Formats: sequence, structure tokens, C-alpha cells
Amino acid sequence: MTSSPTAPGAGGRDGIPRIAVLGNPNTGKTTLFNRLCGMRARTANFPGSTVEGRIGTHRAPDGRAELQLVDLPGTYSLTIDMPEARVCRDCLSGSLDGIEPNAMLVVVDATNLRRNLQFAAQVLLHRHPAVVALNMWDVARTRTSRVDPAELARRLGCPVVPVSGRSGEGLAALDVALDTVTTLPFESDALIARLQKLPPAEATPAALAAWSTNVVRAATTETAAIDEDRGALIDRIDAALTHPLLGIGVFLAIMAALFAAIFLVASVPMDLIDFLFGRVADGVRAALPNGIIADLLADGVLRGIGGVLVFLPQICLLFFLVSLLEDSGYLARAAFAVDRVMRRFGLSGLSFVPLLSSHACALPGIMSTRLIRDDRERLATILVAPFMSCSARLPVYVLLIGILSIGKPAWFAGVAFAGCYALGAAAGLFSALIARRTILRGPARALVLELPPYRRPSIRNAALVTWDRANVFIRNAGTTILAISIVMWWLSAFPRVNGDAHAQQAGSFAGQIGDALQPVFAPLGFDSQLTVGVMTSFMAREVFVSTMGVLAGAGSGADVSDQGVLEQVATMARTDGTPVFNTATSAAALVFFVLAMQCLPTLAVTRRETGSWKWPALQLGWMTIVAYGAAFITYTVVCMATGVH
Amino acid sequence: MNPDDHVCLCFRVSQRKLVNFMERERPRVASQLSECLGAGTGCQWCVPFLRKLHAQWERGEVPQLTVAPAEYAARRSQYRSSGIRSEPATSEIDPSAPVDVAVETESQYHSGRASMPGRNDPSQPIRVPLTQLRRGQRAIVDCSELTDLPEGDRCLLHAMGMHHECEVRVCRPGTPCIVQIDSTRLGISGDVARKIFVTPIADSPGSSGAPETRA
Repeated sequence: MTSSPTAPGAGGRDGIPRIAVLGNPNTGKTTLFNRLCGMRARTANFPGSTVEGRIGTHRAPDGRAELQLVDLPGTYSLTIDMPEARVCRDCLSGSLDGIEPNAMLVVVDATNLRRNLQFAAQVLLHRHPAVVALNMWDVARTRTSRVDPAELARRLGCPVVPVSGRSGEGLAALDVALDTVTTLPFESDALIARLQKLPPAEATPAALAAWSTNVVRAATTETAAIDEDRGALIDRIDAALTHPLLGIGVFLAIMAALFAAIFLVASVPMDLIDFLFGRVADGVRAALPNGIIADLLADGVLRGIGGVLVFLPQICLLFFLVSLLEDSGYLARAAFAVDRVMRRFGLSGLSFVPLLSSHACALPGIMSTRLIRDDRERLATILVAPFMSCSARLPVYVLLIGILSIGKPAWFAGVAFAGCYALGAAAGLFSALIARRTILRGPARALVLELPPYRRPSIRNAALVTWDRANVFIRNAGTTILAISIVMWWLSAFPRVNGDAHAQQAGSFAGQIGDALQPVFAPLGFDSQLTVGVMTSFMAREVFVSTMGVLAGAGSGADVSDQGVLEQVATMARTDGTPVFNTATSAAALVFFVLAMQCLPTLAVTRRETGSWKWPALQLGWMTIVAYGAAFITYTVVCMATGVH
Repeated sequence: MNPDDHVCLCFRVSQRKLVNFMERERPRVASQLSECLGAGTGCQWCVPFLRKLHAQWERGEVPQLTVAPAEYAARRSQYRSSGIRSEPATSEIDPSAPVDVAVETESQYHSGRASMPGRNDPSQPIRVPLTQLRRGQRAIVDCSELTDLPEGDRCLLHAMGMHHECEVRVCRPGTPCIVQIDSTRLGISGDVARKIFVTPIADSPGSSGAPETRA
């Protein structure tokens, strides 16, 4: 699956004030951003970096002027040498192409003022008008220490608005403040007055901390007291979740539940989509006269897109649930729980997050390896990320495991799915170990992470993340996959051969290509149709399903047109009448797809992230060898076990 | 080294205390010396020296380290910053080191100690690695000791709120070490936490002022 975020500079219309939204991680910045922009936001890659941010427009309910908000990545400091900090610095200094802000919105966690104000001070040194949003006000109000926003505003030299991104309180006041700073001229006197109140840019961390402590002391009426009882309970939960055995157990249980939920819940909408596409294809056939146009629409377009869109529910559910987990504060604990295991393979808990997101898609996974501070460990993580079973493999797994589990007990499919994920992860970890013992020697680096407070995750945030990802997926299905589907239909429908469907298939271009390459895949038990499927899936593996769907449609007679696409593929026959997918072939193909590197965008991103073609070439070569070898062994073993050859 | 000079500088255990401990408890292996006020369980620098003392005692000799205290302390700081044990420069291997030299270096040691406030000074509270604290214990972080960490880790810790002399509360001891600063919880893997030195706050809950000792 390719994500194709647009460059942020492109969408900004002139005349709309642009506001940069900045803050520490875990301050509820994104929640506040989502509250302000809702669905009027899109994911954007900042020019010259792989850091993702979001750009949205906000219109106040009382008809004030529209604002454009740029959600910059959360960072702990502007001076630190990390990609997030670099993007924030560049944006504020105006050197980030096309997104020079007119004003800044600094999001500050009211329950953790001392650290947040240090970051705010660094931001406020930049010469733009600014508003400080005192977020999580609903929680801060219940604490023993009271923050006085007016005093804070006096100390910081800019408006301070108490808000809550979660409950939505204080947003009207924030609108007024944003409107004021963007419409009124920004006097240089005001800036100078602000700069005089702040510690200088060259202040040491200790000086900055001392300044912040003073401001907090002046602006709060009581010293912050931590609730000991609650703290002790959270201590126990933290200790359990990061425990070497218990922590891993909880992690595995949560992952198992996650995948079980994805497959169980998603099956209903999947069947519905499959059924609808089948019906529409029939309708098209019935409405149009027999001929090339009807064939193209029914077999090429609808079958191809339908075969991929079927998996939309699963992908949405995966992103939704992972977003909920992240929001709840669990993922950071999980990173520490798996740190010990990762260490055995020469990786650390920092590689865990990229590898986990690679289970959705290797592209964001590889991009997020920038958080790994050790170069060798980062390269090792990039190399093995594509081994993780990404959501593009899901369609193939569903298809092949569906075929394999015909006539098997109900638990078989679940075990097979878990096995695929485990096989991919194991292959990745062992490859990492080999790399760290040979070409990328070095010790694993230490892990330092903030453990965000446990929270009830926001359904709204998770829904917006899902909406964003689903959009990218659908756009992809509507362009790349549509084009490949039409090409595949053309290859299998031409040249026209007189005779039945099987003769057409064997005589078509697709059949000829398959015949030519089939010897390469013969040891794996693949026939020419399956070979075509594998070859077309080199660019993007989910194309396999649509290719097989198109080939099955072309190969079958009209008598089976009431079947769903998946069912049709499952019953495909070879030229000699035996099924394409017997047990051994299906198992070999499944193993091949678990391990093979079939994603052009991933190779391109690896090239960009590592700066050389050496690493993508190694990735492709190694994964292909492993996949072919493992598939060959699987085919041989299953053939021997079942006594078929 | 005189009997009252400290062998374990982390927990300020003198040679005399160690010798008395061995006479009284008759430890069978050198690691049992850790039961003597936690000797050797801090930065681990003194472990080979403890072994040497134990071996001498077992052979029936009078346990005695011949290294000059100033050199001993200097090599320890070097070990703490680099993680590498330097080869002994002079007197450690030579049991007949002239006494006057030892006295002279001892005075240097004391003057050096005075110029380094907080380090090994008896009037100052003890410093221990973060991993040695108990759950619920509070401590003050000494960021001047963070020099052992790589630049990136140090800057990140500062930015995450761990600045000089900030107060931390230990939520989970050991590795990973979880600490709380204000209302932020930081997870720190063992290899970093071991290099963060803190001064325990005596009256914090679950604390007796002394660090937990390993048996």
C-alpha cells in the first residue's frame, strides 16, 4: 500500500492566516488540532523530511475568517538534534518551503507546566505573534494546585487560554485569541516586551529549568502535590506491564486479541463488499450488450477494484485499534516489555515501534526509524521492516488461508493467520541478528521514552486517523491498482482465441508470459496462472488478489458469475483441469508471500532513507532468496506429507 | 592506602571496616563483602580491589591495598567516564611503596576532595546510581555526572525534564527504571539509568537514607 501525502505548500491559499501548532509530545496537541479542524485536515509530508504532520482549516462557528492550522510534530526541545525538532525550527524560521506561519499556537499541558513552559519559552523567542493554549484544563482544575492563566500570560508576554481538547471547553475563547493575533498588527514593542520576559536563547538547560520553576511558582497558588495513592497504583501497573515475563505475556495477549478482533469483526463488511461488487458486475453484464466494453467493466475494473477494496474494513480496523492502544498509553510500556527480547536480536525497544507500524505498512515503519539514534541499529531495522506482515499482505493471506482451511476445523484459519505473522516477525528478527553479527556490528542502544499517563482513548481521534489512512488506501485502489487491473484484463483477454475460456486463457498474453516464466516457479508447484499472479504482484503485493480475480473471471464461464470473487479464485482450474490451488501450492504460495519483498515503494523509501542503492538491493536479494527457499521447503514437505506430487 | 581510606567510594566503606568485617563474618567468597555496607555494589570500580583484599585475608596476610588514594580515586573517575579499567600506574603491585609518598598523596587526595564538593566528601550526602533506589524513594538528580552518556541521550534527558538537581520519584526500580519528574513518567533502560547518579532524599517514604544493598 502506498501512501501519497501531498506537499503541504501546495494547498495553502493566499490570504488565509497560517498558524503553526507546536508542543511537547503527549500534551493533547493532536486532540486539540482534531477538535479545531475535524475532517478538514490531511496528512502531509514536510518538504525535505520524512516527518509527517497534518494541515487543516478551521472556521470559527460565528463566521470569523478561516484559519489554516499546521500541526507540527511534537518535540521535547527546539534545540535537540532530532528530525521533529528540525522541522519545527525550520518552520518557525520560515525556511520550510511554502509554510511560513503568520502566528504560533503553543499547546501546553496544564498538568505538567514546569517542563512544557521550557519548550514554550524556546518557541516564544521566535518573532511571530503567539497564543498559548493551556490544554487539559479539565484535568488540571481537579488538581490541588491552581494555575492562574492571567498571571501566566503576564509572565510569558502573550495571551494564555485555558482549553480542553477532549471536552471542547474554552474553544470559543481560543477562537477569539487566534482571531486577535492574526488580524491585529503585531507591534515590535510587544515582541520586545515578550523577549525581555523570557530566558535568552543561549540559556543552559538548568537556567531554563530554573526560569520555568519560577514562573510555575508565581502562577500557581499551591505547590504541586502528587496523589500518592494513585501514583502507587500506576507504579504497580507500570511494573507489571514492563515486567520481563508478565509484560511479554500481556503484550502477546493484547496482540492476539487485536488480530482476532480484526478478522472476526471485519468479516461481515467484507462479505458485504464482496457481494455488492459481484452484484454490480452482474448488473453491468446484464445491462450492456456482450462485448469488449462489458468485459472490461465487469472483469477488469469491477473485479480488480473489488478484490482490493474488500480489505478496506480490515485495514480501517487495524489502524483504529492501534490508534486506541497508542492513545491509552500502553504502547510505550510495551516497548519496554519487548526491549529485552529485541536486545537478543541486536535491536532495542526503539525498533519496536517502527516494526509494529510495519505491520500496517512498511513505509511509515521505515520512516519512523529516524527515532533510532544508533545508525547501525537503524539500518538493521530498515532492512528487516518489510518482513513484517503488512496490511497489503492481508488480502493474500485471507485468500490463501481461505483456500487452505476448506474442510478444516474452525480454529485452523486463526492459527494459520497467527503463524503467518509469527513467521514474518521471526524471519525479520533473525535477519536482524545476522545483520548485526556481520555487516552491522555494534552494541544495542539504550531506551529512553516518556510513559504517557493512562487515559481513556479518544474514539474521535482514532476515527480521524482511520479516515485519513482509508482515504490513502482508496486513492491508491482507484489509481495504481485500477491501472494494473485494466492492464491485466487486457493481457488475459487478448489476443482473442476461438474456443472455450480455458483456451482463451492459455492463448492470451498473460498465458504466454506465465508459460515463459513458469519453469522458475515450477519447483514451488506454481502453474502459469499463479506465476502471472506472482509476477504482477512484484510492484505491490495486494495486486495478486485482483490479478487472480481477473484471471479467474476470464477463465471461468458465465455459469459461475453468481459466485463471489474470492470463491471464484479458490475454484480456479489449471489447463489440465486440476485445481490451481491444491494444499501444497497454496501453502508454498502463502509462505512465499509472507517472506517476499514485493513492494516497489518500500524499495524507493529504503533508498531514500539509507542514501544508497546498496541497502534496497540487499533487502530485495535477501528476502527473495529466503522466500523462494522457504516456499520450496514448504512445497516439498507438504507434498511428502499429503502424498501428492 | 591507610585503614581509614575508602575502598568503596560510592558507599564510603573504609579498608578498616572491610578488614573487621572479614575477621568477624569470615566470608567464604569475595562477593560476600557486598554485605559489608554494600561495598562494591555501586559503580563496581572497587570489585577487583575487594577481591584482592579477600584473597590476602584468606592467605592469612594482613589485608592491605598499596595503591595511593589519589591515584585510586582518579582512576575510578576515569573508569566511570570511559567504562574501561586503566592499568595500575605505580604502587598497587609494589607492596613496599615508601610510606612518605603515600602520606603525600593522601594529602593531595584530601585537597583534591575539597575542590570537588559533593564527591566523596563525608559532609555531603552519598551518590548512588538511579537503579539502586527502592520503589517510592525520592532522590535529587546530579546531572554533572551525566557525562558518561552519549550526547544525544543527555540532551534528550534534559529536554524530557531531567535537569540538574531535579527531584525524581522511583516508580519501578531496576531495569527498565521508571521515574517520575513532576507529573511526567520516564522509562529509562538499565544501561542509561546505571549512569545517572542521584542523592537519595532521606525522609522520603520507603527510604532509610541508605540505598538498597544487594546480597
